[in-house]
Order: sequence, then structure tokens, then C-alpha cells
Amino acid sequence: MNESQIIGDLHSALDDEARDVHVPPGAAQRARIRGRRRRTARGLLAGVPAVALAAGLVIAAQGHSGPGTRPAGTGAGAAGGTTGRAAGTTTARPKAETAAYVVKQVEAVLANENQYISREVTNSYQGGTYTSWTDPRTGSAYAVQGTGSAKVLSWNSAYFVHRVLHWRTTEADYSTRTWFVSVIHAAGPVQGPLTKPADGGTLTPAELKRWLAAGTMRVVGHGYVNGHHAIELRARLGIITQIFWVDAQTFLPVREIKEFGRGLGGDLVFNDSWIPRTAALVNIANHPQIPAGFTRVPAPR
Amino acid sequence: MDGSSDPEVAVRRRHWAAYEDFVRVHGDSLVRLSFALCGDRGRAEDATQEALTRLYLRWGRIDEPLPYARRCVVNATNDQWRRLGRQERRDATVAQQPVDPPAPLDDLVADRDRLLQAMRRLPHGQRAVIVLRYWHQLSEPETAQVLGNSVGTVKSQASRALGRLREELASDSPAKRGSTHERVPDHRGPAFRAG
Repeated sequence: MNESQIIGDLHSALDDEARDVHVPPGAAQRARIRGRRRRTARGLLAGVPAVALAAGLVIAAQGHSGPGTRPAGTGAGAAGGTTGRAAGTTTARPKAETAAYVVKQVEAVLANENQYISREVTNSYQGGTYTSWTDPRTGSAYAVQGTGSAKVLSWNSAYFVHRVLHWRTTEADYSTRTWFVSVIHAAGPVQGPLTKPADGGTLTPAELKRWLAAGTMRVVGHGYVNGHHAIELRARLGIITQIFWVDAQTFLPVREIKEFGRGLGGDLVFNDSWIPRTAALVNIANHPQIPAGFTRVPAPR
Repeated sequence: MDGSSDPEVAVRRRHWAAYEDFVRVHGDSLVRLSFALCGDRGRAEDATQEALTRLYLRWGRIDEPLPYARRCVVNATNDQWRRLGRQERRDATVAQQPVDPPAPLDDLVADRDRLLQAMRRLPHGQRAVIVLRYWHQLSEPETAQVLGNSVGTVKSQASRALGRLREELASDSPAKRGSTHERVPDHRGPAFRAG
């Protein structure tokens, strides 16, 4: 059989086989609903996940001041994100490694989170590798997705207006050389005391505290993750299962996974690292810098 | 507050109407593309739904939605395939192989079946090139655009894919096969290696 015969046969075979295949009714409407959910989740996750985790865990372990177990050099070691760490400690404390114990250690190390810029890298989004740098002091983040003419830059921040939490996104798209500003807000005002805006996402300290109290959060085991010997913590919030990996020695978070329920898309995997603050990183995380020659357009919805 | 006078609302409505039109016009073609790649109607519908969601998220910011939508379909189909567990993938591949096909199969049907099975054993990239180039009849540059590859890559993948199909069909021909029962190891081999 020569190539043109193969091509001809393949064409007619696929024609016949796919003739009765149609797009399901309501596909466009479903795509809109899922797209909106995903955009909201992305807005929540992209800007503040590390800070939400950090602040959540701090409050979840309220009352445990922690001895500050982070060994010297933690920041530099963790900054690389993929640097191997000393092994041999992962089985040393099996009895102590309850979720509460691990959370307490994380609390101690994240007491110093403000001296870092947290960097997250994920390949979970359509459009290429997504890397974000978050300033824990403000909760603001800068992100780059894709490369070359497909690159998209974005800046995310969260703040209160009359007790209503708002998320602001500025995005510059190299494929169209346009940029926009989008602001979305929570449905209503926050009741009670205001916490940092970064705490207002999916991972609230109160929820984490409830998970701990109800036994929802548990230590699952150990593994080698993102260049770290790490402890796996798992918790469930409605249809979302939240998995945290924290370095077994330093207790800094090194990976976060969100497993969504059916119909809400694939899992989101974020690799975390912690970079010493520099003026340039702080500036880029907090202040949108639109490339020259870009045209502003309305925000898509 | 009447949102109808808000220009941004009007833009959003126009975008949504255009998106719905796009799905109405191209939806079948997109789900068939996924079906051609994976051979499973349910998975094709799921992958297409995912692709339409990705398209929705970018709608209004892309100049040419159809190539982008095709790309989303190809990627979503591949993502879904990758997400299948090793065992499930192996089972699915093996399950597609006729363990003991009815002897009096019409030659045309049998050849067609072998051709489709052989195509679905191709690596994802080659399979996508074959489907887009020779079934959707896209040009090499158009195929390259959809797949995010260079034209050179499309050419080489098409050439390799056709060569591999020719080899597989030759090795699978009734003359060489001798007996239909010998098809089982012939098919299980590549399937297990791929898994």
C-alpha cells in the first residue's frame, strides 16, 4: 500500500467513523460556566496562594508559639527550589508528626516569611509555564506565562473596599500587544475583624483551623518533592482536596496541589520556593510595568 | 443599575454571541478531531468540553479562534490520555484490539479497522499531524500553527507517521499474518510497550 492509498483510506475511514459524532448540546454554556469558575479560582490562586497558606497555617496553630526550628541557611537553601537537601530526618519523628505538629513547625518558619519573595511555578495552566513572584508583605504578585510572542504578564493584588474584598489583575498580552485591568470582588462585605486580604481566598485561617480540629487535615506520608525530602499534608474543602508538601527539615512549603472535583478541570500543581527579597523583585511584584507600545483594551469577562 | 448602556457589557454580550456562533459552527468538527485522535466518543466529548473552556477563557484576545481551538482540542485530548492510569491506558489499548475477530470480515472493513488501529498506535504528535494534514486537510503551515511546531517538524512527523503506518500495515497484512488468531501477540506487543 503506498502513501497516497493510505491517506485516501484514512480519510474515508475517519469520515465514516466520526460521521455520527456531534458536540453535546449546551457545550458553549458549560464552557462559560467552567471558564468563569476557573478564572475566579485562578484569580484567587495566582495572587496569593503562598501567603494564604502561610497565614492560614500560622493562625491554625494559634496558641503554639513554636520554638523556631528553622535551621540556619533555610532561606538560601530553599531559594533554589530544586536544590537537594540533607536526607535522613524523614523517619526520625514518626510519632510527633501529626498534622498539628507539622503545622506548628510551619508556623515557626513562616514567622519569617516576610523576608522572602515566594516564587511559584506551575504547568497546570493552558498557555505554558506560569511563574509567579509574591510579596508576602502585601500579598501582591507578578506572574509570567509562556514565552516569546505568546508571553503574558500579569500582576495580581487583593484589597478591601468598604469591607468587601477585591482582586485586581493587570495583564499584558504579547500576542496582541494589549493590556487590561480587571477588578472582581466578593459577593458581600466581610463580617467581623478584617484579616489581611490575602487570607480571603479559598484557604482561610478559620477553615484550616476547622480542618485541624475536625481531623480533616492529616499527615499522609513522606516523599522526595521538588528537590526536597518532604512531608505530605492533605485536607479537603468541599470538592477541593488540598495537598501540601513541606520540607521535612525546614518546614517551608515546597509544593501545593489542588485536586478539583469532577467538572472543574484538572489538578493544579504549584512548586514553591523562597527567594531573599531584593528591591527589584519587590518592585516588580507590587507595581505593574506595562511594556512600551502596548494598547489598553477592556477587560474580558 | 441598568447594565445595558454600559459599553463593557455590550462588548461582553457581543463576545458571548460570537463564541456561541463559533461553537455552533465548529463544535462538531472539533469533537470529531478529538474523536479521531483518541477513538473514544466519551473522552472526545470531555476533551472538547475542556478545549471549549480554554477557548472561552481566551475569547476576545485571539485573532484566529479556529486554529487556537484545534490546538486546545489536540492538547486536551493528549492531556486526558496522559492522565489515564498506566493500567487503564493499557487495558483501553488492549481492549481496542480484536482478540478473535470474526473470520469473514469484509476485506474493506478489516483494512479500514487495521488502518485506524495502526494510526492510534502512533505517538501523539504524529497522530495529530496525520489527522490534521490528511483528514482536516490543513496545509503544512496551518498544521504547524495548530500544533505549535515548525513546518519542518510537521513534514518530518508526517513522513515518519506514514512510513510507520505503511510498515505496520505491511507487517499486519493477512498474507504475512497467516491466521487471525496470531493477531493477539502482534497487537499486545506495541500496546504494552507504549503503556
